[in-house]
Amino acid sequence: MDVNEFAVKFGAIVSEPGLSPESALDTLDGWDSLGQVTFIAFARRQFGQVLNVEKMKSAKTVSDLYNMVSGG
Amino acid sequence: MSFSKIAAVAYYLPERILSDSELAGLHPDWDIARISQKTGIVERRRAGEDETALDLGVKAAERLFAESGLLREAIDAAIFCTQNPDYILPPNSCLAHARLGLRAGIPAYDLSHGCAGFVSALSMADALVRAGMARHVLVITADTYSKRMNPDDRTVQTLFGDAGAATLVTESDTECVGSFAFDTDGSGAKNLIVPMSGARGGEVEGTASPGLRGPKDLYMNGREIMAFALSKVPELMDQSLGQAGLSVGDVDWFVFHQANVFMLENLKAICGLPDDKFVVNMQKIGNTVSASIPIALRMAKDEIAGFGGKILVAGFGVGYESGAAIIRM
Repeated sequence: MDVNEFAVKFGAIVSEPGLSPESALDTLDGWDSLGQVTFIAFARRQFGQVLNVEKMKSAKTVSDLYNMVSGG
Repeated sequence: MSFSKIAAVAYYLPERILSDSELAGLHPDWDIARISQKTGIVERRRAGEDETALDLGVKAAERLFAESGLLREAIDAAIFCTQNPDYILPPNSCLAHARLGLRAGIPAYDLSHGCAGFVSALSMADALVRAGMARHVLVITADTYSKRMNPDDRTVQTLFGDAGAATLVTESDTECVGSFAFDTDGSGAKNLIVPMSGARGGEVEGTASPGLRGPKDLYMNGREIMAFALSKVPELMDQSLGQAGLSVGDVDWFVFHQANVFMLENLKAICGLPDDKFVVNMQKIGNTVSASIPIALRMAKDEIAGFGGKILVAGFGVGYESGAAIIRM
């Protein structure tokens, strides 16, 4: 899964279509605790990654999250 | 050495139902539809003001005696697992012993565990039977998290329900309880905690939130709990299966702690478990903590034709504590 495909899937998780890798997380209403719980499960299922929650919360952009789960 | 089996399970739910529509009326700013779409929980029970986990557990045990026909005099060990005891002292197990009229000359143990509490208590009961110290162990698992919640904390108010369960563990010629696998990780303690609830006073950093939650209220970090459970439960399931020499396909049913639908659906996918063998039944009672697995077992037995055989149970939560086992019912 490349970063653009990831951005589309992430948009579905936070109910925000049209996101790009550069989209800022702090502007997304859906990036709240429920959205983050959903993303943790997504990361575990799609990438086999057990996320460091504090590190996840410090991410600024969609691309940061992609790098976190893809090891990039 | 004899083995143990689960001979009977009963449960009791408090009468008051707290529905999504009532919560929406009380908290118009909560997006209840979005939350319940995720958790799958639309109703949860609430103990009365003067009703405690002891009351719920005792009522469940009375049901168990009435349904099973077992004389209470036969009970030769009792375990009460709760995190909501009537008192710090004396122990709930002693209070239940008196309320239920159990006989003199038997041990009674309290166990303070939450969502993994049933598996822990079951392992103790199994060990007592295997050691020849008891033939009929009464295991009560009951909790009333509602008494520790701030009414304005939607994270926990929407999720947890109060309930009590009673399980009768008796001796058996064949091994019907076993293949236990456990994990303990106290580094996760702060992620599900009531900070000022015991001898250690003071707040725990990061748990209180002004106007939402005080230091005497239940705090849950749902993100950390999710990450922990999705990591640990598959490991324990594999360990338990390995001990039993079984694979996923050999197991008839999987009954995990009924945390919420989203958690269970993800665990099912990660563990590679089939839909038609995976029990999910907390939607109308909520996450009932230590009571959830025995309630799920009993509900499945009542509602699913052919339920039984080899069942893998797994609990996980506060502590962190997690455990899995294989039972035959």
